[in-house]
Amino acid sequence: MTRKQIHLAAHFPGVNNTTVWADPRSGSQIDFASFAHLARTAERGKFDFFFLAEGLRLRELKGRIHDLDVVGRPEALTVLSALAAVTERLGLAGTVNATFNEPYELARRLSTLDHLSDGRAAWNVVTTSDAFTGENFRRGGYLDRADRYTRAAEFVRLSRELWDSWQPGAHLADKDHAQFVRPGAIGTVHHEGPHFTVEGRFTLPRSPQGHPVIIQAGDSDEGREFAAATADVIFSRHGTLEDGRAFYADVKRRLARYQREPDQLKIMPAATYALGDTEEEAAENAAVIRRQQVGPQTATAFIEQVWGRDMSAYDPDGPLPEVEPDLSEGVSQGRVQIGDRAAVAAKWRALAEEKKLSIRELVIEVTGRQTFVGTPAGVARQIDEHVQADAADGFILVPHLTPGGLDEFVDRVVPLLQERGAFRTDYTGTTLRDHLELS
Amino acid sequence: MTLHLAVALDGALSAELKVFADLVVFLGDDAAERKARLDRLDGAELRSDAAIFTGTPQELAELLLQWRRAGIQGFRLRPGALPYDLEAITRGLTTELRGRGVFRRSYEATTLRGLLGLPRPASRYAEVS
Repeated sequence: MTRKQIHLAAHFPGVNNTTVWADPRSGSQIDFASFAHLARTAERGKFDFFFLAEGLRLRELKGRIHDLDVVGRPEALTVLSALAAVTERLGLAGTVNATFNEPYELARRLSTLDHLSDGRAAWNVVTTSDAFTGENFRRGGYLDRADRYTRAAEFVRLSRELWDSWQPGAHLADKDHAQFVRPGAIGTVHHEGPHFTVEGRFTLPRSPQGHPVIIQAGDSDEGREFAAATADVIFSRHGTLEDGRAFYADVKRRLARYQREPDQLKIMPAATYALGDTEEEAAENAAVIRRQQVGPQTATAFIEQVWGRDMSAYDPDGPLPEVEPDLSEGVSQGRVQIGDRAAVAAKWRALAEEKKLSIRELVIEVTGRQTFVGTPAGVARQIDEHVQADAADGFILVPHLTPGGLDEFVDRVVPLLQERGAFRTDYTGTTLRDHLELS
Repeated sequence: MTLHLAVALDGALSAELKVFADLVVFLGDDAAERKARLDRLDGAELRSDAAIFTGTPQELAELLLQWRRAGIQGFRLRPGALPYDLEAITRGLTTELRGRGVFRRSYEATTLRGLLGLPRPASRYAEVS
């Protein structure tokens, strides 16, 4: 039996503190050259796809722009369209919100990307129930939690109706008989649902992949169910072996309810990494990166997010002060909100006391450390073990530097994954569906 | 001042608003014959919302200069038949215009605003010094 194959994607560095923009090697988050560099590196490494996140409102801290991290980024589908011209096989995945867009318009844009790229488009469907972001949109824009996924599900269903509405071979362009389309080959869509009413014809032929690949990133019960019913790929956050296996089993089990096979949905957690020539050097590199990611002000911002109050008077390199969290309202907007702040604060305080940690050391300890740390051989082994143990079908790698953060991984880890027989040495198909082994 | 061969705009004359004229062109020594043949094949004479020109690149260049004296700053030229008339525009007409010193030999700016001679708008949030 052939070895289970690993799927890899490259996440363009985002706007949280994972991205170290102050490093001397860091380049622009806006210039096309940065996107092209990372995409070309991923394609050189035979990755399945390149991934862009989305930001629809600048993050804020205490009512001001949160400028400790990268501020501002371009719109995904436009960037991906440009990348389609400088890459040949790499899948191109963009995050686009299903709460704020119109299905007809977005289905057109995604179909266009699939045509332009010869079948490499993917849509990461996200939703928001966040009034802060909704203020930027016409309707006051946001939806209750319960409605987010019903709208997203109807959005995707309607998009697929539109994508399917031209029969294969509808386009004749028969010059001899002056006939451009085959009569009757362009169907009419009649859609009437709780969220959308669309009546009419789609403006594009069916695209090379039929449907762009659908990615889903929510982790809630509704999110998992939506993914099981609808998605081709899940972008999860369960990077550890145990969490990953539990999540993997749970989601794959849900597929049967929708008459789907386990291999029709690929599970790809986000993963960060730090490499070194020896295990010690890798651990040292990982620690250096963590200190870059959690600077003094970022450490303060993290505890302010949990404590809900101004903590700028306390030295980040000193101990956690005795003040209690203010649970009345949050100080940060546009970031993932922390659920039970009182419980988190108590846990952090206990940890700080036990290990005698400063504020900054505490934040380094409790916030996302690298998923994989080691020599190239060690990291290749860990990635392969996760995939073979059904903790994942692959990973969406998040470099900490723009645009060169993936170079070393592609040069040093990918060849070892290939040697293990767990990762392609060249593309065998042309579309993203081919790369992901989706039928 | 150079001529712009690009997108049409309508409106009053001002430094910041360029007025472009639309023109359908059949170019070359055989332009009139080619148009007549297409009209015959179509069973009707070509009609357009824009003026229709048939003639040589040299004659078209003269016409554009005449229109320019009347205040037109640019032109959107629609090739009568592809690819012949497009090539006649990009090779023949541009050579004629350059010979008269009214069309660029190389791009003088990197942005579209630069090519059209339009100013870069000040941000409404820019601080006044």
